[in-house]
Formats: sequence, structure tokens, C-alpha cells
Amino acid sequence: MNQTFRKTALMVGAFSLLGMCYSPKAYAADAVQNVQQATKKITGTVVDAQGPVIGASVMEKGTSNGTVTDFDGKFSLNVKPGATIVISFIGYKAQEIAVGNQSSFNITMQDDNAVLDEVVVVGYGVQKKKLVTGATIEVKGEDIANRNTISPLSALQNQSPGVNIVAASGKPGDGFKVNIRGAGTNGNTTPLYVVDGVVGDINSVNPADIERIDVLKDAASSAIYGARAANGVILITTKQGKAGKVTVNYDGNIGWSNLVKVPKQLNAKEYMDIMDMTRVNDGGSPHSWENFIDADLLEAYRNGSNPGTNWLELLRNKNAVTTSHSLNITGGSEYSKFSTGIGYQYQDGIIGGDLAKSDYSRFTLRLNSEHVIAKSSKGRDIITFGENVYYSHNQQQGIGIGNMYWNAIYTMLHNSPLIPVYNKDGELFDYDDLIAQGIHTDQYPNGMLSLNQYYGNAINTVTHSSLANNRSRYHNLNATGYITISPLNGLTYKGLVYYKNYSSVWKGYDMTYRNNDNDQNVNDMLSENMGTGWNWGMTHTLNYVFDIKSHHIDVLAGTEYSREGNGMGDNLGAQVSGNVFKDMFNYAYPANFSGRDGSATLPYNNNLPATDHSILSYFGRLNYDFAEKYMFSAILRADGSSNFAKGHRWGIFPSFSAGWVVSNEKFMESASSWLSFLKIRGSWGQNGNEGIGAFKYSATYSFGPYGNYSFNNAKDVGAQGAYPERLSNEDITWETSEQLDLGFDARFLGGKLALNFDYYVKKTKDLLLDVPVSAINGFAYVMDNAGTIKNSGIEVALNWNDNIGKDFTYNIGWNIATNKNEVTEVNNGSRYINGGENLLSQGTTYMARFEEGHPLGYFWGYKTEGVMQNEADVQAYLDKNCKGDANNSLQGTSIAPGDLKFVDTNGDGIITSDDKVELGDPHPDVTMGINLGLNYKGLDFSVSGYAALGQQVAHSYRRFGDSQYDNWSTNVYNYWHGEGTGNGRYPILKPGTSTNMIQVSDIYVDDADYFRLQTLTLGYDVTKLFKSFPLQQLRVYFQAQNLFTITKYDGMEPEQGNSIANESWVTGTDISNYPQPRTFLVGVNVKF
Amino acid sequence: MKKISYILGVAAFAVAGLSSCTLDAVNYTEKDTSNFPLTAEDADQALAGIYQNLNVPNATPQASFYYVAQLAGDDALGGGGENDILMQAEDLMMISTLNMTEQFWIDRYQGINRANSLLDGINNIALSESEKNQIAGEAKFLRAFYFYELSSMYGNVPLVTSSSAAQPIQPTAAELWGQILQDLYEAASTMPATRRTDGHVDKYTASAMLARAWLYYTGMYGNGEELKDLVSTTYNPLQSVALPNGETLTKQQVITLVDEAVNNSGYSLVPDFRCLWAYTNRFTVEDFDYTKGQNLKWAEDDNAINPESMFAVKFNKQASWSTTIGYANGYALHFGVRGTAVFPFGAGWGAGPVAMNLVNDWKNYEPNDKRRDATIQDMSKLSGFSVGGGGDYMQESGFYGMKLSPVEAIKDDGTISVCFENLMYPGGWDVAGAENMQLNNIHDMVLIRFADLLLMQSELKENTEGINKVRARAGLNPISAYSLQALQNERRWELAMEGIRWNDIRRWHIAADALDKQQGIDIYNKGIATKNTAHGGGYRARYNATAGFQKIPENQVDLSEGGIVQNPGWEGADSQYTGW
Repeated sequence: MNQTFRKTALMVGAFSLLGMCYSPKAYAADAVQNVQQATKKITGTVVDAQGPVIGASVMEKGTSNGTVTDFDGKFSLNVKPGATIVISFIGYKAQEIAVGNQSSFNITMQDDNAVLDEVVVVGYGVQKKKLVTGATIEVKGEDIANRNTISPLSALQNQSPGVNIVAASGKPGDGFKVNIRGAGTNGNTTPLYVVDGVVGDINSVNPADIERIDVLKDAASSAIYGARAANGVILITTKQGKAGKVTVNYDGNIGWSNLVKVPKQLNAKEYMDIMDMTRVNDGGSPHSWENFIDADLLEAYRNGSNPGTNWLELLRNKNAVTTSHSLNITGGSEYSKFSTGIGYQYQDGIIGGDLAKSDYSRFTLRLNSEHVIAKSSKGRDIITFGENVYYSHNQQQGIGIGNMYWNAIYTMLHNSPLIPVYNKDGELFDYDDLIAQGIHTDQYPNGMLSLNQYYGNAINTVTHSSLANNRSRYHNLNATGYITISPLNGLTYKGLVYYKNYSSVWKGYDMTYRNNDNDQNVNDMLSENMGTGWNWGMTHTLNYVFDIKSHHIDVLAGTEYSREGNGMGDNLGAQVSGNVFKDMFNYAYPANFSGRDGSATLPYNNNLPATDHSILSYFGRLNYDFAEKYMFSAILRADGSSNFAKGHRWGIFPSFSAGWVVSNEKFMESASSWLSFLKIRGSWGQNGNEGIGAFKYSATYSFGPYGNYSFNNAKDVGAQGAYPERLSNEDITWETSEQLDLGFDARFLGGKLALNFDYYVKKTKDLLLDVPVSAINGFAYVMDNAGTIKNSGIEVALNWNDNIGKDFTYNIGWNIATNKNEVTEVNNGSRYINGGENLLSQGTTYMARFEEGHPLGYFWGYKTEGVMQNEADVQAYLDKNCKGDANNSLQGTSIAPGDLKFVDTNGDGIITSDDKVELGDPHPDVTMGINLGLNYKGLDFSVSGYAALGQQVAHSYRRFGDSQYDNWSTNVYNYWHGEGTGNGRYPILKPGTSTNMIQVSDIYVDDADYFRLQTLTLGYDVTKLFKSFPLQQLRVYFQAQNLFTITKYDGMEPEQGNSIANESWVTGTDISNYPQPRTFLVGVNVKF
Repeated sequence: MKKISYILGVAAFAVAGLSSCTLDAVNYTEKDTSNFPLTAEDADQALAGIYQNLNVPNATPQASFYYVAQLAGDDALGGGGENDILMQAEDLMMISTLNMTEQFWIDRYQGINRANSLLDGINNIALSESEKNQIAGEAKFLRAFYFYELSSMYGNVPLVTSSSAAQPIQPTAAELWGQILQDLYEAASTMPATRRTDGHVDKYTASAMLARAWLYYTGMYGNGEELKDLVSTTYNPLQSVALPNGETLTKQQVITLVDEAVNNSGYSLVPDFRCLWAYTNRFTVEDFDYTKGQNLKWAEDDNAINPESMFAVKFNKQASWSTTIGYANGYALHFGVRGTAVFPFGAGWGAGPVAMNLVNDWKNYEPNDKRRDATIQDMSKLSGFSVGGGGDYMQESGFYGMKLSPVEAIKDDGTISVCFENLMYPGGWDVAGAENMQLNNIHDMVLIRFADLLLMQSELKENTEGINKVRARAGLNPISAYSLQALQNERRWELAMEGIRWNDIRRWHIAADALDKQQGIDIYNKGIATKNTAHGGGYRARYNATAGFQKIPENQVDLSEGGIVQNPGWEGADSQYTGW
């Protein structure tokens, strides 16, 4: 008792220092009861179908007297006479056994299908699932690992209604665009990923290392992470050690990937015909092709013996190999547990191949262990220490797939089929070959380039530039140590400190080549950027759980501090020209560049410190329930961020939630035959966002690259200049996301059918926007709290688990989520922000808007009503839309049949930009996931699918605004070429700068609903064949990924998560994104 | 005891940890108003930041006043490729997009803000009186120059003269130009009487700019500020202007400063007109048939000081796609030969082909003027270029301006360097390296020449003094008597393709007639011979609808919350150019 008291005193001291509220009185009230009465010793063994259950809790009912089972499932306990013991363990039905006269027990635990006693991970702790009052989703590690994906996110996609996960692209190693319950912010919508209690990155985690993922969707659930939880929170728990025999898991697979769908581009003959038609429609005459192409080649094109170049086919990598190997070793004792994982993944790209290697590899190492330093005589852990160490190294190289200026696939798709890849000598066809073609006259001095000065060999462009010659390498180390101290039952202090180090190297190498004056590198050039940074932080929490009769109370108080930068990170970049190993990417290191002393130049901003950034937080949580029937929870978190000016730093984020387990009421007992569980819950809360970068509030002078001037004819470098860096706004403060959630969870028919329902309204207020302002004060943008976005929707998840007979079990899961996204306030002068200029093609104007009353980043342009078929149709169009006057039409006096009918939406009789309307919404209205699983003896079969409905994609694979000479897909035959021709949607074929085509209208916006069969898996556990097999499991499996996609969208890929615009809120534009591969793989799971 | 030590450890750790829990971040890369600008060195840095705004529009020259002045004027067409509808729109006084020139609006207000920031803080800086006058004069000069361009482009733009945030409110032209003239007058009358040859502007440059602003404002607004006054064909210049400081600026005060600049500055005419232009550089001059064997030497060879250059934009090798490409001369690139280079003229985007009416007028009025062949290249005389040769070239006239063009050079090994600067300034090229046609044009872009000052002197004093000095250099006989017509012609020939003419024809109220001469002239579009046809009602109609002011970028009107009213002539369908 004495010693306990001294501990208490120390704890009080420690926590007073932490500025936290702690009452020794409460502590004293629940002092350990030393059971000194007459007792009886009982012993026993707890087993399940597989063998001993280690760590099961054995409690004397109504007391705090209890123990846990040991290595062999055995326990011993002193109980009062007439006691009842309660045996429980996660995932099993709890059992109550009256001790009576018996002193030895053999207890067999039954799987708890209802899993109602399952706990879920919440912020800084766990909570019984049935008591959770917020909206959360939990996904088991095995349901992630068995998808065999590189990133856990792709496995999560169809198992988490309300979490929108869209692959950025199918390029190996590319990430995902993720938002929870709709895009709530203009900037980064990515939720907060918390890996083992520390903010981290989900993409670097090997799915095989994951124990479970918990998604906190509503504000009340995520409020405990207040500071950065505006976009929701995803908690990742990696595999932890378990007491018992050491188990070894190996999962390995190898697969082959292929491109699924390619647009059918015109061949050389078709191309020439279409180019002629374009020119004739434009008032010219057909091209004299012999001026540009040698006679024999032209003849071969014309008679079809040479179809011309199919550019994308050249980069197609057939049967690209993907492979994954994961080894997990878990084990430990009552005192010490460990879990180790090693993983290696490799994925080769389906586009790139030998010409432009595009692949990804990742190595991961995880070391988790936990040690009990002090145990009470009752078997309770008093002090435990543990650490989680995660290291990952990954490397990505491959083709650029950004906007139209940086996209290898686009470069292929729009290139002319008339240009050969190789010349007669087998070398890449280049400038000399281009100008050597055709008939040389004064009028056509440059051969093929006389037709179009932008003509060039796309393979030359890609393979000789950093579009293909680039490589990124990343190293991440996350190390966490923690200690928990539980001086008495129910009271736990946890202290956690972490250190993260991250570093990266990117290099890109441009080699020398010449296609034409606009597409050439005279000198080679290496660009290299390196960066390293760190982040440290600590968390202290104090948790006290106690019961007063049927009142269960769980209070938590904590503080957290994190800091990054602070002079311990550096970024460095260099650019050099003149490689001694000319045009050899693998030898492109600055030291190999000629004139080693002088030619290596550091660009501006070449060395920057990592940004200094810190957050300090205090938080508290009260969870209360009465007899597991009525629940209430309140959270308050205060966060201070260094990103704001003094006086605006602190944000306070409260949340409240309540629940009612209706099925525990007496009056519901009659329904228990069919309704096993029903909980109604509601929550309201607020979360914050401060992620704008440091010093945005302050008026500063910069000495960067935008202020130098070459006085004294200093041609090499300008005189150092200084200039105001930004329009300061000291008033900026936290962005706040406020959310209301109403829902229920129900289980029917003895738990076979589960139903979850949620309705939510999420408002993100005081959006931190770089908002356009009148530029007269020197800056076109200012960072401000300047907008509101509302997301609302419902989420339904249905799961059916059953068995037919003893051997056949099956489950069916279906979930659906709707979301309506609307910008309700843009607080600048214009009430809108434009985005997406030069996005669909060079020369197209802004095509996306952030505007009140519309979805975030909706497509903005002209509405059309088909194509004018004849003169009468033209007149009818003018009468209806342009007061009968062609001058008022967009096409002007040259308006003619074949032109688009741009609609006068505002009815003023003139077609102007005021008639532009919402043409589409890049966000899906509805997303759906379907999962099916069957098990029969050792055989397992599962299918997963995902659908996204109601979204649009803006789409063009041609840089039509630049030139009429880009190649077309066969979609060109849908263009108008005479009365009644075409599909009625596309206008007369003219150069892309013609009004019909350069103006952004709905002809570029397509519905992109899709359903994708994500995985189909068939597995068999060989050990079931033999009675005594040396392994616990030897499962072989076959899996098909992305087997098919059902969509009307005619581009390569309806899933468009790649943001290629300058504005991150502009999404859903497809100028030829890297499509998702279709993969077949075989693999093996071994467990012993 | 062991347990206690653990707990003690935790407590100690917690205390140690919290002591470093600060929310004050350290800014390692920037200064703020508490520590900048304080010293003379700081002032120089802040000044460089203002000058750098001269480079900024070179990243997007197509949005700038200089570019519009060139294309919208009567001496050049739009040009470019069929996708360059902006170029054609600017020629036609139309718009290709609602915010076609917004970048320039943003850029120039940034320059103004930089000047305001320095002027606001200048009294806190430890400087001598003459240092302060020089630095403040430069800042005022640049602020006035930036407003001169903005106001010439858009009319009554919001006047901002302090670095603290202002609301967008349009002043009257009198208020706006009063400030411009006051800044220039103060700069010209207070700066030390020392000619600068280091790229800084001096007292005399300020006088020249004062004359330019005076002539434009007093001419353009001589009839009043309404649209009808501006497009009136009556030329009735103002004789004095009220300044915001309560004083009145008279024509005589301007003349006094101009005379002083002509007589005492040390600036002078370059003896041979051709030596003003980069094609006479030492790496090119003897390979160009037009210039070889005549002992010509470019006035700026090897960083020589050009005695005629009073104000120029300086460039360097630091142009970079990742930071600013404005450190290279973007105008040279834009006005380069479309398609493929034709020695000695480098490749570019083919903006502003010379309009035939300039060539014809010049031949008619001044048949023996040597400056014509030094200014305009008849492309049919160069081998390797085919007039009407096709491609995507629009409004091709067969004539290119030579003053702005990028210039190639032939290397010792006989191959061609895309820009002569590669040979003249070897080594040290940043980023994309040498031989980059887009980034290697780094010769000065001269904005005020001494010849212009001489012509303005003549115009202000209505005598032949300045005109005849300029004519003498051109090998022409002196004129005996001053006439406005003679002055107008002389300015047109001497300053052709230098972005000057546009404001000249507007202030003389001859713009509509002059512009209309472009209608119907012969051009090629994508290799097809055709006529330069009317769009939006034609050149005359568009000028009379707008007075030559551009559409204020729609975004900036919308963002002003009613503070800025759109210029007339820019709302209807006739202002929208969607393609030829």
C-alpha cells in the first residue's frame, strides 16, 4: 500500500507537469482490493477448436479478481466459495461457469459469430464495438492482405462505404486520391493516416503487415485527433506479437499484367483521309502527300501494306511481371511478445517495356515488440514497454503521365501514324529523316516537317527525355517507443515518443536528340533533387476506466506535441549538362559531367531547410454507458499550430455522441428471435485543418529567384534582389469541419445478417484557400479562411454470413454510399475560382470552377444541342438562340451546317461566356462495393467488385487546340460530314482551333459510371488433404485482378484519380492516364 | 525501486520533452519588415526586386502592353499559328479568352507593390540625401512606368501608391495620370545629374519617360475622358496638368527637363542605325549578306555600353522553366521566324508579321530611307524561306521585323548557333543549357532610345532640331520646317516595330484611319493566299468601340466587387475572336 501511494504521488507530480487534470481522490476511491478472505483455488485449461487459447481472461464475476491463461491455455485462480467465473477473449463468446464444487475446468471457447464483443480501435485506445457511438468501419488485415495489392488502399476501396478511393493511375507505385465522405476542402482531401498511433503514410505499408484498419468517418470519432482530422482519420494497426508458439507466415505470389483497353487509333491511310477531309472542310484542298512522303512509303500507306506506326503499341509491355513476398514471424511469452515482418514487392508497368522501363519495387521491414516489465501478483501488466519500428525503401521509375506537357502515353496516342519509328539504317527516325522525306521544292523545303513543324518520332521524344529516364528513391524510417504504466486496475498511463526520418532522391535525365525545332535537346541535362527531413513527437495519455454499479465510465486525458523541420531537414537540387557517359541514364551522376568544376549549376532555391512546423495539443474524452444500453461520449481537443499568427493559433474542437442499444431493452425481448441487436446512434462534432505550410500569415521579404536583376550587364547572374513574398493575412486560422451523423447498426437472424446505416451532413467551414483577390495589392492570391463546402449522403452496409451444413460457409457483403457535394460559400469578390486552363488541350480556357451552388471543381462550359444539319436548321438555331442574327452566335457570320448548336442558356439572345453552365461533376454520386466469399472444406472462393456512378470525365487524347495534325481514334467517324451523318453530337471536322472544337463544351464531357470486378480468387488449403501435415496451412491460390470493367466510357480508364491540373481541386480530366492493369497471379500462403 | 526509477524516468522525459514544446517556428529563408530594409544594401536589393518586374512579362509576353502595342498597332498583324488565336485577336482588338491579358495586370501590380514597399520604408534606411534621391527616384520612375503601361492598356486602373492593402476603385484619368507625371517629374528633378551606364535609370531617363507620358496623356485626353473624346479625330493636346500634390505641371517644365537631357546627359545617337540591332553583332554581321563587309559593329557587342540606350530590360542566363523564364528575352522568341529559323533570324512563334501598309507607306513617303531595310526583312530575299510555304502560319505577310528578332550565328565549325549569345557569352548557362532557342535570347530590349528623346523634343518644341538629327543619321536630307505630319512620319520610320507607334496614333487621334489600312491587304493563312478580312466589324469599328483599351480581365472586374467597371466595347459578341 505504501509503495502504491508513492507511485501515486509520483504520477500526480508527473501529470501536473503535463498540465493535465488528475484527481488523486478518484484514484483513492478505487484502490486495489486486497482479497484476503477465505478462497478456493481452481485451475483449468481454455481451448478452442484449434488448441489452447492463450491470454483469455478468467474473472471472478462481480469482482476485479482475475487472471489470464498462459502459454498452454492454463490458468489458476483463487475464488470465493460460490463464485461464478467469466471466461472471455476477443472473438469468442464469453462463458459464465458456476464454480460449485468443481476445482478443475476444461473450457472450450466458441467463435463469436456476432462479434459484438469485438473491440474497435479508436483514437488513443480501443472501445467495444457495440458501444461505439460514432460511424466507423473496421477492416481486418486478412481482408486486405488477400487482395494481393501493393497498397492497402486498393484493397480498402470496396470495403469502406463513404471512403472514396480512386487510383491516381495504374502506373506501378502511383498512389490514390482518397476522401472520406466527399471532398471537403479545396486542397488536400487526404485523411489523416495514423499508423500504430503515429501520423504516417499508408502507401508505404506492406498490406501483409497490417493487423487491421479502422476508418473514423464522423466528426465524433475523429475529434480526438482534432487538429488534423478534418478529412477523417484512418487508423492502421500493424501486426503485434502474440504470446504462444512462434508462428511463421509466408505469402508469395507472382503474376502477369496486361493492358486491357486501348483506343483504336487511325492507321496511316485513314489518317491521311481524315487530314484531307479536315483541310477541305476548312476551305483548302486535299494535301498533296507526295510533297511530304517518299513515293514508295506513300504507296505502302495507301495500299495498306504498311499501316503506319501504332505508337502506343510500341510501349506496350505484355505480361508485365508482378511479384510479392511477405514473411511474418510472430510469437512471444506472457512477458515478451514480438512480431517481425519482411516484405518485398515488385511491379513492372504494362506500358513502357524495354524502351521506357516503368516499374516499382518496395522493401519493408517491421519490428514490433512489447515487454512486460512489471506484473502484479494478479497477472495484470503494471509496466509494459514496447516499440514499433518500420522501415521502407521504395523505388519508382518510369514514364511521366502528368498533364499534356508531360505524358508519355499522350505523346504516343496523338502522334501521327505517318512517321516511321526507324529509318532504313535501323536507327530512330529523326530530324534528318523527316526533312529527307518527300519532294523538295522551294515551297516544301523541309519534307515531312513542311506539313507540320511539330511532327516528330514520339519514341525519340520519350526515350531521350526524362519522360522515361527518371527515377525516384525513398527511404522512410518510423521508430516509436512507448511505455504503459497501470498502477492500479483501470488506470493506465501511456507515453509514446516517435522519430521519423524520410529522405528521397529524384533524378531525371534528358539526352540529346532532334525531332524538330520545337522538340529537341541540343545538350544532355541531368536534374537531381534530394531531400531529407525528420519529424518527432510525443504523446502522453492517462486513461481511467471504472464502473459504479451499472455505470461504466472511461475517461481519457492527453497531450501531444509534434515538430518537424526545425533546422534538421535539407533539400538540395542540381542540374548539370555534358555527361562523360553521354546519353547513359544509369551513369548520370553529377561527378560524371564534363567540366566538372564549372558546368554543374545549382538552380535557384537549390538548398532549403525543411519547413519548421509544430502542433501542441491537449485533449480529453469521456465515454459513459449505462448497462451497455445507453451510451454517451464527449470529446474536447485543443490544438495550437505554428502555422498561424499568435492569437490565432489555438483551435478548440468539441464533439458529442450518444447511442441507445434498443435491443437490450425489456420491451424488445419479443423481437429477439429475429432482431439480435439494434443500436441507434447520433453524433455531432468539429475537426480542424491547419495544413497550409508555415508563415503564410506573415509579411516577409524573400530573397528567392524572382527578384534578381542584371545590372552592369551581368549576364551570368543577376544582382541579388528582395521582394515581398506574399500578401500577409494575420487573421487566418483553423479550417473547421463540422459533421452531424445519424445512424443505426442492427443484426438480424441470430447475427447472420448485419445492417449498418448512416446519414451525415459534413460542412467544412473557413476553408483555407489560396483565394483569388483583386491583384492591385501586388498579389493575385491571398491565403484566407474563405469558403464552405457541404457534403451530405447516406451509407448502407449489408452483410450476410451463414453456413450450409458443417463444411460450407459463405458470406455476402454489399455496401453503398451516396454523396452530394456542394460549395456553399466562396468568400472573395467574385464568388468563384477558375481552374483547369490549358488542361484539355493547349489553348482551351478555364474549364473547371469552384463556385457557390455547384459541386467542387465542376466542369464549366457551353451546353450544346447537337449539330446543325442544314441551312434551315441553322436559321432555326439562330432564331431560337441568337435573335436571328448570326453575329450573335459564337461561330459568327460563318455559321453553317455542321456547326454545334451552342445553347443560349441565359436567354439574352447572344452566345457569350455568360451562357456557360455546369456540364458535369467529377465526383461520383454513388459508390458501391460487393464482396462474396465461399468456403468449402479447404476450398475458398471470393469475388470483390466496386462501382462508382454518376460522375463525369472530361476527355481528349488530342492536343486539338495546337494543330489539326494530331492523330484521332476511330471516334472521328462520329463527326459530322454531311446532313444526317455522324452521331449528332460532334461537329463538322475542322482544325481544332475552330470555334466548335476549341470552346469547351459538353462534347468533351462523358459519363464515366463503371463497375469493376476487382478480384476473383480461388484458393485451396492443401493441408486439409492430409490428416497430419507438418504445416498449419499451405494454401495455394489463383487470383484475377481487374478481370473486367463495365462502363460506357470510351477512354482507356474511367477511374481518374490523377490530378493533372495546376489546381488540386480540379479532377476527373483524362488526357490519357495510365490505365489499371489486368493481372493474373498465382500464389501460396504457408503457415507453420 | 526499479519500478520507481522507471517512473522517474518517464517523468523526467515528460518534463524534458515539454520544455521544447514551442509553437514558434523559425523562418530560415525570409526576412520581414522588422529587419528589412534597413541598410543601403537592403535598399539595393529591394530596388533590384522592382527592376526584376521588367523581366516578368517576358515569361508571358503575349499578355503585355508592349506586345499588344505591337500587334494592335497599324504596322504589324497578329500572326502566329492557327492555335495562336490570342495573337490574331490582339491584332483585331478582340479577345480570345476572357482573361487574355490578366497575367500582365497581375505582374505589373506586383511591380508597383514592390516599388510602394520600398518607398514606404525608405525613410527608415540609413542613406545619404543623394543616395536617397537616386533610389527613391528609381522606384518612382518604375512605379510610373508600370502605371504608364497599365493605363495605356486598360485606361483607368486602380491607383495604388502604398504597400498597405487598398480597395480596387477606379480613379479618373486625370487623377491617375497626375500621379504618373508627378512621380516622373519628381524623379527627373531630384535625381543626381549623373548618367548611369549600369542598367539603372537616371535623371535623364526619367525626363524622357516624363516626355513620353506627357505627350500620351495630354494628347489622348485632350478632348476629355469620355469614349467619344478619346476616339475623336481632333488633336487638341492639353498644355498643363494638375498634380496630386497640388502643383501644376506645365509643358514648359517638361521641355526644360528634356532640353537638359538632350544637351547634358551624355547620351548620343549611334552613328549607324543598323548598329543598334543585334543582327550586327560580331558573330553574325559578316555572314549576313545585308551587313557584311561594311565594317558594322553592334553598339552592344561584348557588353559594350550602347550610348543611345536610355532604358532597357536586361537579361541573363538564369532563365529557367522551374523558376522564371522571364530572365530571357521572351519578345525575341515570340517575334522570331515561325517554323524554322532562316539565317540570320532565329526561330520563334511568328508573332507580329509586318503589315504591307507600313512597307508601302514607307516606300511612298521616304523611298531612300536606309532604315527601312534595316528594320523590315523581306523574307523572299532570304534563301531557305518560302513565303506562303504553308505550315500553320496565320496572317503571313512575307515581312518580318528585324529589331526584335532572335539572331543566329555561325560557329567556327560551320554549324549554326540558335542564338548568337551562345558565342558571345559562352559558359555558365543555367538549366536547359546553351543552344536553347527559347532561353538564350538575352540581349537587351531597349525601351527608350535617345533618338526617341530627340523626336519628342521636336514635338514638344515644334521645331526641326531633333527631327533633323535623326534624319541625318538615317542619311536623309533635313526638313526645313516643322509639321505634325512630318514629325508623325519620322517617328513612324525611326521607331517602327519598337512598341511606340500604338500610343502615338492614339494620342494623335489618327488611330482609326491608320488601323483601317490593314484591312484587305494580302496575307497567307496556312499557306493559302487570302486577304486580311474584317472581324468583329473591322479595325476601325473595334478602335472606335474601345479607344484602343483592352478588356479588363474579367476575373479582375469580378474580384473588384463592383469597384472596377469594364471598359466599353468588350461585352458584345463583336469582341470575341474564336478563330479566323
